[in-house]
Amino acid sequence: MEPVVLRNIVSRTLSFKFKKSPLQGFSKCKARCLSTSAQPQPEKINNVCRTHENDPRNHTLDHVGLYYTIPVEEINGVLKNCVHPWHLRLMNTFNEYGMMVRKPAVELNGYIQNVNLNHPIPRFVLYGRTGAGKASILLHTMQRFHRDGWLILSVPWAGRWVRGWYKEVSESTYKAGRYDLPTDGAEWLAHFKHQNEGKLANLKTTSEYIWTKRENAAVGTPIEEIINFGQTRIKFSSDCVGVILKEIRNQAQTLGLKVLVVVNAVNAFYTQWNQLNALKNSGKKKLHPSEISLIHNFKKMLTPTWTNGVAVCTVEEACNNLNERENYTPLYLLKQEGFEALDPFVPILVPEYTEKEALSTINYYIEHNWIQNAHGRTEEGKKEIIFVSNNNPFKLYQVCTSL
Amino acid sequence: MATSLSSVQKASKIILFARQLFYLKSCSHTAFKLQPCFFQVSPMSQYSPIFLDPIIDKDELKKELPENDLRRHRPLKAPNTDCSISPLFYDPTVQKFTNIMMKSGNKERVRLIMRKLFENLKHMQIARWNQATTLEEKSAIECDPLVLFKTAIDNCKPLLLTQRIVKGGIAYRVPVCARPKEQTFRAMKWILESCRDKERRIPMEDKLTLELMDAYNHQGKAMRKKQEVHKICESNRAYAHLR
Amino acid sequence: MALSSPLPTFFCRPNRQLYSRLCLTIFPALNRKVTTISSDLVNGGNQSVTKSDNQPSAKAITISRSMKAYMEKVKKHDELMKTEVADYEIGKRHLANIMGADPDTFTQEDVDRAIEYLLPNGLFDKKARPMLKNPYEIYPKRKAAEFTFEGRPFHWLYFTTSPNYYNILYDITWKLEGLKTLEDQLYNAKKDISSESKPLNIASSEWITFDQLKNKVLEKIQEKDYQHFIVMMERLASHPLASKEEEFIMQYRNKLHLASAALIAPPVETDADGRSFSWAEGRRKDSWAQVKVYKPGTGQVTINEKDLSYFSNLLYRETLLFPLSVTGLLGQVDIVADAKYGGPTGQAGAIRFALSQALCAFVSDDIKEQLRLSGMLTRDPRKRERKKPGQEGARKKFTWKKR
Repeated sequence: MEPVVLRNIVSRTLSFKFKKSPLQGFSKCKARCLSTSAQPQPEKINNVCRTHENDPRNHTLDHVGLYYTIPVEEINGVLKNCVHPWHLRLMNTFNEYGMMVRKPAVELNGYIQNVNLNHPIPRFVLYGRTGAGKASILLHTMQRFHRDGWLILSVPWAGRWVRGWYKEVSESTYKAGRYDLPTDGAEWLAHFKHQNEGKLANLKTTSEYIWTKRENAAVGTPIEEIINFGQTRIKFSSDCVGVILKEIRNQAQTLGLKVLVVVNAVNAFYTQWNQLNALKNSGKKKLHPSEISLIHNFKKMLTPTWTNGVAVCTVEEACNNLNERENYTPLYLLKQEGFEALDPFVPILVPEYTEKEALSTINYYIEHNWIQNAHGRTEEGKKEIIFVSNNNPFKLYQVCTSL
Repeated sequence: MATSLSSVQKASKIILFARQLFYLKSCSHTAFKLQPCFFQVSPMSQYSPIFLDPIIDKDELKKELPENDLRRHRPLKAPNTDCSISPLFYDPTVQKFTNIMMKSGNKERVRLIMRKLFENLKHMQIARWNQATTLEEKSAIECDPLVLFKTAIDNCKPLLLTQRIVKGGIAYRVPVCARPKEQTFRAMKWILESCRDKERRIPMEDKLTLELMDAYNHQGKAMRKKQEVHKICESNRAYAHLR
Repeated sequence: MALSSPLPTFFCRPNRQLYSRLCLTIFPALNRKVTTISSDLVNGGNQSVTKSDNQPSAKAITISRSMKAYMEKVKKHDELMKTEVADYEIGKRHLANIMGADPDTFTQEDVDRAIEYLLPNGLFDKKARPMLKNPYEIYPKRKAAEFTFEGRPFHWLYFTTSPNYYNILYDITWKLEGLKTLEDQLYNAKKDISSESKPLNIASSEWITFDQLKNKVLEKIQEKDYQHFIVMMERLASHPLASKEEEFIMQYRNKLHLASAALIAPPVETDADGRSFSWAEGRRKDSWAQVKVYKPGTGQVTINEKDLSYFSNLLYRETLLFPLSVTGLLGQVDIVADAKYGGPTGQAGAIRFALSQALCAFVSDDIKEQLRLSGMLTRDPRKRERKKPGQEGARKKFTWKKR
């Protein structure tokens, strides 16, 4: 079976074979001067694991399974707080911010590109097994549309808003029966400001907002001012988030803003979290997600009541209670309430690695000296790693950590 | 450093003497080598004594067994769950260390710690490797976590240990040469103990990473413990004959 | 009526001449290969025996009192055996008649089968079930007279109470001494010992068991005597020149068969879709597993209708990798497993065992032997140790307080 697959890889990557990257040449001497590591293998055609097309706008299905590099500015800018800690640590160690082009990412970007923005916002839901790479696809999409100048509203991990040990929960100043998360609100404001630096200049409020008797925001206040206010007076941070989201919704059409809403683990918005670290009010009652003002505001972003935007969500098993993780499909994880709220949406399955992708990852690791075991560099060893990881990207990383 | 070296030299003399004692009886043209007999088997073993240890090495498996090999005729034991024929997932030293670290049979957790330990070691060394500019500097940095781990343990292995022997109502701490198995065990135990003495809030894998890197560079608490033991043996060398 | 067991060569060797003469004089009708004395030739009550023709002296031999007592005992025993044998023959004929078979051709096997049929018995120990056997098989064998009519023992080691046993030890010692002298000679002559003789192949045989040794010497010996015998024999056999005494050593060894010859592979079957497969069952701890292996396949694994993610712990996936890695069939077979009972360790072990057996159907004899040598074809007999009364667990004791 295997040679056929390898030949496919070869035919697809033939165009990249002759372009020798400086890093590939570098990796050879890396392996050679290691006293204990195996002698560097002669450069094989099937060891190709990277593409020189570093602009996500130009990625097509031909680039699937290959690694491209992200500039540091974008990692620290638009993608900040969105990369998994382990992934970021790995990239830092490699001294190169490489990420794989996955098929669902290319597909998703194609859909979004061809969307008619004058219609109410379309919604895409990414689903797949834990560790299949849903969050990485969000990174790819975010990077791609950031380059096109879209406004990005991202929630790196929605589960954070429904849980926490000793987290401060206060009654909402705006509406009774709703609860604010001051620190989380302020955090999100900072995150939003960081992601969209230089894109918020035109945004101004269209109505007056009165925080207290003395403090208010008049019509025409720049959004940045509201962000600053929310960060200094964190009591009102959740309300500030609400204001910003509302203004964006209202003005997207008129100002010609293109908005990308990204929510990782959207099922946390619709399912009750019942574990010990669930958020509770002063009466020790566990809070339903809809009672939390941040979530309430963000849910509005996912409704098709506005235009000039796209919403991309993922559903995660980890945000459901322990006894509700049998399946990874959106219907099961979102439950009735969430499914009805998001329906109709475009489900996109994020599959686990194909053999080509897994081999590409292993080769990428080998290139960066991450796999030190001599047996791991042989064809047989690679097969064994893939078997044990069961093609799951995160498991593959876990297996390779100790090699 | 100079004093510790000289103590090692003296210790090696003691070892020579001890070995002479040990092999004095079996002086002949050819040393008789007795086969494993039925009464040498562990009393609680579930296997019948005719069962032999399996071969867990692919290269050795592929070689044909010699004519007079017992394994041609005898049944072999089944390897444990944590044994693997692939050198990727199995190393006897790592397995031993894992089992020594394990508490109340929670192997999954210990294996996770080991995995993170190796990850830390790799992160640390590869980042340094990337920072190094010249080829010489790079070749001096060891990136293989397994080699780092084994070297660190080798560095902590004591040559001598003391044994408590009572003669005439007085207990003496008699220096004896440590057997290879005991050396490994002591080295691992000291490394683990020194990690467990540290701040409790730091994860075990981080403490182990620091301790192993220290031991790799001939420093750290476990190394000091070894030198202490050597010092005691050195001061008690007058009792060596009581062994 | 005499027993068929041959007289051991070591029997009464120092007094062989005297013994043979006695045999000729007292029991001229019997040949020498007799272990029990038959009484129908002894004239009960007669104090003397007339000499035979080839004996020149006419002097009557006086029989000592002990000899007389012995002869009476033998006579009694013989009579008993006679009646027992007669009973046995009658019983056999009765049985044959009941079963409607020919009594003359009714063999011992037929007897056993008939008894199993007529007297079905559920007792666990086979020795406790009813049986009909030749009395000579059931009654213990007895030694012949060990002394002359004057009461003088034949054997020079008679007063050790187990002369045959000590004679063996004596032989071993002398043979070992002989080898040592030979070795010294070779050493002095500066000859190479290894060229003089090949090392003895002791792997293909094992020492006789305790019971076999007891039958050989026909004496009461203890377990520790047997251990002594083994130690002495080991010493002789491990001598570099031991092959010179091969004939002697091999008298005390049982031949072993090649373990690889006993390996059986399950048959290759074909299912409704025309795919060839083999299946096997395996157990480990409390778990049970059945594995079907399809070849050719693509490396798919199904365990209890899930894929390899059935085992979330990587350890168990590595366990399953073992037989696949040995056989080199990783990625070439499809595996369908059912596992029941017990925990993940037991189930993984059971699947591994069943998988290795099922894989035997598709591999060459060489690889089958490799599987055996790596212990894959052995059922792991280790189980949870039971809790003991009066203590906290299997080994742990209750905390002991003085008062």
